[in-house]
Amino acid sequence: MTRRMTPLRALAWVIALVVAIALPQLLGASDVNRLGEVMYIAVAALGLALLTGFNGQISLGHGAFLGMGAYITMILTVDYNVSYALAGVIAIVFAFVVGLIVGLPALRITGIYLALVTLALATLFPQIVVRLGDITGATVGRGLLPREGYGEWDLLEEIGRRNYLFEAGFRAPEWTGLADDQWRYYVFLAIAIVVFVLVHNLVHSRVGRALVAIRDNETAAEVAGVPVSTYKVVTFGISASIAAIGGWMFAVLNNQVSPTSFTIALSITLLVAAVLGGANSIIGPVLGAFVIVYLREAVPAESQRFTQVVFGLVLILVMLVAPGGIIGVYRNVAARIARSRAGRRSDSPPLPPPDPLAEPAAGSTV
Amino acid sequence: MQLFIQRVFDGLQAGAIYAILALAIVIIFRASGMLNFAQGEIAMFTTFVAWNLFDAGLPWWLTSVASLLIGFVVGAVLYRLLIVRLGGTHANPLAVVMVTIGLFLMLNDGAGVIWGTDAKPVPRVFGSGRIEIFGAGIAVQVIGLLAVLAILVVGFNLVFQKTKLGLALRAVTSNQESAALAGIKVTTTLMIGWGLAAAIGSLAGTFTASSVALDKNMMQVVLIYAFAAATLGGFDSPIGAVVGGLIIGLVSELVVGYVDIVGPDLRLLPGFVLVLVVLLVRPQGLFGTAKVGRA
Repeated sequence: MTRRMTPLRALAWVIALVVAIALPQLLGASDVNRLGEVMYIAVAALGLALLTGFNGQISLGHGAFLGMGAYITMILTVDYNVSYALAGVIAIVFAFVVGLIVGLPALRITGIYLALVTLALATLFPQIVVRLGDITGATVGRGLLPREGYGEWDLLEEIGRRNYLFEAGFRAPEWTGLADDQWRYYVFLAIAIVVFVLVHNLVHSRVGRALVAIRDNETAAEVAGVPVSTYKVVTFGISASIAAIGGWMFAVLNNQVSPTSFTIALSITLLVAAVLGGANSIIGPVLGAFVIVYLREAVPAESQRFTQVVFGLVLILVMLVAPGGIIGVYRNVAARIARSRAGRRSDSPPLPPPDPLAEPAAGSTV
Repeated sequence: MQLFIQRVFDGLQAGAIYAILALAIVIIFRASGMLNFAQGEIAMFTTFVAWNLFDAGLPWWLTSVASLLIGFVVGAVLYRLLIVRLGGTHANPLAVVMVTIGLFLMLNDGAGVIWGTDAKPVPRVFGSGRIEIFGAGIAVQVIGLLAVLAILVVGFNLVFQKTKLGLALRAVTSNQESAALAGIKVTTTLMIGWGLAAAIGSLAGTFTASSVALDKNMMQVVLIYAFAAATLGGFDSPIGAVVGGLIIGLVSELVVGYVDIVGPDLRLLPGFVLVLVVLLVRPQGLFGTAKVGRA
């Protein structure tokens, strides 16, 4: 059931879009890049929200899928001269396949096994990167620059390259007349909009309702004819692919990939973004990503070590106080206002039944 | 041959620690059908508290015992303050997993804030003596650790099979509603269960600290191995946790030692592959019971 597109709602979307398009013209490069950070976290968190909020499974390994996307983008564009677009497509397919391989054994049984297996994946991923050091640059990482003479750099040259890096990599085409950061921003925005619209349509389709049915009661869904295992595994694959898109964005944005960026901490950060914003909504992950990026920014450097403690606290508090996240709170308030309005006009027709996707039912099986 | 025996004992030492943490995981899984992702971090935290006591001049063995008690209190309080409020693990498993992950973050980085990120050397619980077995020098620590594991298994069985508390725990595991109707205080029983789990877990923390060094990240990998051990042995089987832990420890050590492609960089890979294979071939694990789904 799609909520009706009221004129007010449509206006809000148009304004949001206009603001999103205008922002890079108004802000400096560093602020534009920060918004790029928000977008890659939002996209990856959306993948997680599709999995967790709508399908009731938990992944602690989406940081690894994001990392795969980033490394594939870096390696293909630098070493094999593949275009960014094609590298992105290959990253998506790769993450999907890895998602199936990891998800298939774990998802035939109950969902907690997925949490366990993905936790292991998140911890294993940086180890694999270091093991494949010849192509990944091991613990140092590598940049998105052409490979000429890559074999014999010394430390000084490396430092020189690092400074040069921010000029290289993903560049704005001449005809746009945009700066690199602006061009990146618009590409990210377009990608994010496409991904969000696709996930929105998926969630509000027949398949989406089946996913929610699996979340709420797996056995009942199975009995009703939903191919539970297949849907769960494919959802996990799609979710992993979306995280890999976030990884493509990461590589393009940072111009550099190294294993320390893709530890278990990233996986949990993505989870916090999804849950804080509201994992059973499409907009929730965007809000969560905004809060995370700007919260991290607002914390002064000497207190950075507290951020993870704060994230942990946020996760616990959200679960105790507002399991639906920011969007859940908004929905509750909106419903309350609507109810009190309906109360005043006692002859008005009863409210329509609540959106079935709005709140997870109690007794949902993991 | 000497190297092989050395590796076997190294594997057993690591495996015994995984087995201890896996036992803690199994207790909670049996009692509430849920995985506690903060299990390792709780152990790390209590070990740090014990280290503070040690630093204040108490002998290490005494502080290890203290960490058991602290662990019990921490586990019980966590259950009472957080898990119960979520409506219990059966009502909302997703939320419980999230909360334990939140705890994981808070404890891990909280420990960094309180005790710093430098590793702290810790004495070996059983001293640093060595005995000779087939020409390989085996640390007394390993023998002591295996003995502790054996005592735990026996004690575990005694508590669960012969005491009123064990009966209550088994009743709650089997059917919470019926247990409550039979007069068992479900919340209190589960509180004790979570306390016991955290206490046993802190043993794993003590031994990890004393075989490597005390460090805020020391339990993360151990937790993954412990999950692997429980998966291999079966999540509802204590004996499975022990056998699984020892197998995972041995296999990891031998594969890392003898298979060059894996090597020390990919220490986690053998355990990870083993888990995937077990889930594919025998999802209930070696000693676990297969579950039948009901609506």
